[in-house]
Amino acid sequence: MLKLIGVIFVVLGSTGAGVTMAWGARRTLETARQLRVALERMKNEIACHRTALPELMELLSRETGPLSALFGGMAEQLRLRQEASVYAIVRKSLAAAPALPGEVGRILLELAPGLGQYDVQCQLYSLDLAAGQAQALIERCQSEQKGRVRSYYTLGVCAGLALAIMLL
Amino acid sequence: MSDAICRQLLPYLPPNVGQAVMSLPEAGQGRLEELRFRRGCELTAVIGGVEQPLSLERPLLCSDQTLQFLLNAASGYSAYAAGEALRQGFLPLRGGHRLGFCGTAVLEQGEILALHELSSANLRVARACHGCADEALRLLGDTPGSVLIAGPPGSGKTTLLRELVRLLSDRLGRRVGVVDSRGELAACLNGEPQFAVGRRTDVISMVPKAQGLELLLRVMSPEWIAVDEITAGEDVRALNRAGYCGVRLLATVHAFGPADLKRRPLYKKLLDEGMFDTVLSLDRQRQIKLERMEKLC
Repeated sequence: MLKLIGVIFVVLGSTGAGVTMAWGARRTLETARQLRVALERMKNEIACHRTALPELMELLSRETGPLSALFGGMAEQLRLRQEASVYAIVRKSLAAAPALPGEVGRILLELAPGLGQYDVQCQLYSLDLAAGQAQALIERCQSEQKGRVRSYYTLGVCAGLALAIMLL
Repeated sequence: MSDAICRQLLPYLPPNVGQAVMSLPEAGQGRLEELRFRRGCELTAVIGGVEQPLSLERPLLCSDQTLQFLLNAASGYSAYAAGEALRQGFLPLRGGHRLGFCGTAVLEQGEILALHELSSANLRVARACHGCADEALRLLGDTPGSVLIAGPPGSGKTTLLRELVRLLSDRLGRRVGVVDSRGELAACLNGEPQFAVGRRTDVISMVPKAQGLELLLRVMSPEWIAVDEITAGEDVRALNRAGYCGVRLLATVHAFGPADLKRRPLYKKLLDEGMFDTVLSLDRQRQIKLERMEKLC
């Protein structure tokens, strides 16, 4: 009886690990998609309305998704005007959001030094570059998802069963 | 009162500079006119017309980071959004204060596109002067005609103009349109005038005077239009057109008095065409003298 309970826990545990990895891949895709949409919105707001960064981040924080809290935090930091640069604000905000996928954070960190600087054309150019990176990430996640996510589930269950059999 | 004005500056200053400002004696804070930042040099303050080190205890030096902090704080980290104002080298601040920059200009087709490699900054402290136009309004009467304010630089023409706009709007109930080409009259920030210009006043900012005048006439049906510093022939022509539309005018010019006014061809045109009923002359002591136009022509 105890062995049966142990087997169940082992299978559940490894299945859970597999599911977590699959969710991680899905989350990266979802976050990259939200980032792509956000970058497009930033381009439009800056090109058409010259919206300043604090208001822009506030607008983006109202959308639902994994990045909303990050944008809200950045809006708050921009309003406080205590940091030396937008890069410092982005880095601080990313440090406060460890759950965000690393690839998305890297795109934002690469974009940050140019944000708010110079003229509108430079802003739009920087946002185009970042949008291209986000799109590449989306495509990579989509192609991985087809193959790997199912594998994660399967491996999770199989690893659990194998371990259970060995222990029995 | 002086503390309140200095506190308005704190969000735009690096913390150590803000501390130094608040450490100034109360009398000094009350007479603070400018804070000057020059890269590699000690920060200075202009107090009562005299430039002196901001901090006597420990010299505060201006670095590249100091200038970048000022730019970021004043523009909300959005230099691109500052647009025309930054191309003219300044950013308006809450409270009507103004932060001006010097640096290396980036030109495109002969026009300044942006400033980079900032080398210095000047934070000009604005102070409202309620009551300084009471005497002028008393001299003008309850139904004043168009008024031209003439005076040398630093005589307080813009301050007097602003106050007259406010009194025309609030006390005499007139609809006033203001063409604030350089952002000094109303100093609008996010659409909100930082100076009190009156409840019945409409402001168009950062636009050439001639275009601003046309727009106000077309859409805001003003009873009065105010412009600061007539300096070009097209300004005079635009004022002329406004005058023919039945609008009363309030404007300032650089001149050392009525005689100087008559000597300058551009201003002589103003007198000859009878656009203004009255000239208010200011001297360096900010004393006001009223002259009727028929006496000057």
